[in-house]
Amino acid sequence: MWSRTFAGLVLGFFAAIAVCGAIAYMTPAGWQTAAIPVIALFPLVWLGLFAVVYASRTAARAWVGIGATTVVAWAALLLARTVW
Amino acid sequence: MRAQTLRQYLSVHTWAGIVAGFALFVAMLGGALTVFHHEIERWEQPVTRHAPLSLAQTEQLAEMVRAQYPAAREQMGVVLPNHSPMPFAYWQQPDGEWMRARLRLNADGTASSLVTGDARPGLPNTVNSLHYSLSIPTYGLYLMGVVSLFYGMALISGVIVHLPRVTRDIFALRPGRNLKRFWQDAHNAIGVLSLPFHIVFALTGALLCLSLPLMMAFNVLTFENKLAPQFLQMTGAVPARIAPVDGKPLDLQAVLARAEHAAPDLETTAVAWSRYGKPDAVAEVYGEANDSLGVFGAVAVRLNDGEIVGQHSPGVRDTNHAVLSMIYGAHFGNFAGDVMRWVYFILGLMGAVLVYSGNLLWLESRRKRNAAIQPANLRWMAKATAGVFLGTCLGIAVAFVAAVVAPGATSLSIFVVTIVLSMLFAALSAPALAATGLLVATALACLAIPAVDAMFTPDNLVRTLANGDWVLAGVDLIALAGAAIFALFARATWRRARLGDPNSVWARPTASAQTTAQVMPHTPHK
Repeated sequence: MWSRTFAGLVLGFFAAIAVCGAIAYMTPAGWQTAAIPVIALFPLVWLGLFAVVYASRTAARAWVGIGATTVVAWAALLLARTVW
Repeated sequence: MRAQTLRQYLSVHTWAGIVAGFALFVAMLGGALTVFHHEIERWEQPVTRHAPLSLAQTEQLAEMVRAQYPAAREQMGVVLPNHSPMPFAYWQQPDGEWMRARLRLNADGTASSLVTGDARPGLPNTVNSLHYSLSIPTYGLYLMGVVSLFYGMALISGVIVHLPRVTRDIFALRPGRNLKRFWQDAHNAIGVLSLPFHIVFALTGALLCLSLPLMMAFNVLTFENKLAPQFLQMTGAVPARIAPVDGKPLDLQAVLARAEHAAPDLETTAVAWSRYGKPDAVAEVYGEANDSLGVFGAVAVRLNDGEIVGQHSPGVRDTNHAVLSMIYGAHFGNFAGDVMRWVYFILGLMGAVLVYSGNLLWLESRRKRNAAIQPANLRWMAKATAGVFLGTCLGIAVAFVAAVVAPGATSLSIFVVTIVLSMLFAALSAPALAATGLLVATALACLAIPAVDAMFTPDNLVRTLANGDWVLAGVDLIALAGAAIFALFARATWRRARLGDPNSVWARPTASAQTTAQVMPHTPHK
């Protein structure tokens, strides 16, 4: 329980912020025009990822799952930032 | 879903609810009342009830502040009289402290001096600050942001736990001997039926409270430090640079006329001046448009010549401003007139009942069926539930009474004293006694609200009803309704204490049980 909570709290935060940042960079008019909408989206994404963590069979799987999500999200953010 | 996963979500739901519950109850109750902020503000100040201050007096206030506090020339805002019967000015001192000022009125309605500082935070401001920060300076706002996140988590896990059974049980309300099932039905029905609104409250609440930390996190982590310099332009109406012009600053009336001409649908509520007297001075006029979810808008007027230099109002704004305004609108519930405000009021009260019933369920599902003395953690949870939840109700009701009886006292101190006494009373007495006593006291305090209104002001319920003054009558009528509801709750609680299951934290302490407790302070129910 505590292990999952910690994973959702920390990794979930970093995954969600990267996803939202990536979305902002991918909007056609530039991230400046979408900054407030993606910040508004952030709590929803964070809580969503946070909640999914508890569905995993074991805490180790939860860490692997949310860890992989975080890595993918950051890759997407860095890619979106350089490409757009 | 596997039983183990469901149990996992159930415990997330329980703990998120229990941890955030106390603060959440205050937020819900305070939020419900804050919907009628301006109505309460009018009610609590008998002097200006029928003669709100004029625009000229508001300008006089601004001029006096500028004369006495040079920092206010750099940046100052005033709330307009059509938005508050007793307008106030707010600005930041060079040391960073936020100041407030209003006019000290003489008996003949003229004003010659200022009342500065938060000398007496009024009743609606106290209720509002309880709502968004528990009235804790600086960090209370962030605390409530975190509470909103807990609330969101409790909602998500609650839906996951209850959704499988919801279609069957949603309209089931099974009163009867099984009180746990009754409370469970009520809790689920309220939670599910108002779920969309609760999701909106939790998300927008978290955003409004945590906007600064969130903005800083996004600035550093995703936007390469480019967000912070642009944030004011993304959220406000004033452009970064204003071409300077010579001239004399326009007066308040002229500024408002320019803004209303530029945005005819906007009902102006406040004005903020920047760099007053300088060539690039600007006035930002805030307002509300009633036919949009994003009700809030603003017009920036160059102060020296009245040129419109920036505007965001429904139809005239980018996505950032539209979303921001929608966040405010969805949270404050003023986007569809008085009907929606009543809906938000009811939803807020229902939210308070939701949190309260959650605590009752926690107690019901943990009690020992065959023990006269319940475990200490249950007894203390029951005491805390009575002391904090019901103490909050009592504190707010007493603050209403005191606002009229003792206008010199600050509402916050009245509230704090009342809730501390309530918590002491709950700590020292059995939960059943504490709950019943506090409910009776709250009912009496609610009853006193229209009574002191009749005794200490020129108005009373009969007169305001006859005059069709629904704002003043409404406060008294809601207080009467509150008195009736709290009295019914008190009756039910006391009936349960006497006639209900004796093996409950809510049972009336019997002489034999008390003796047992004294003989065996550590009852073997671990």
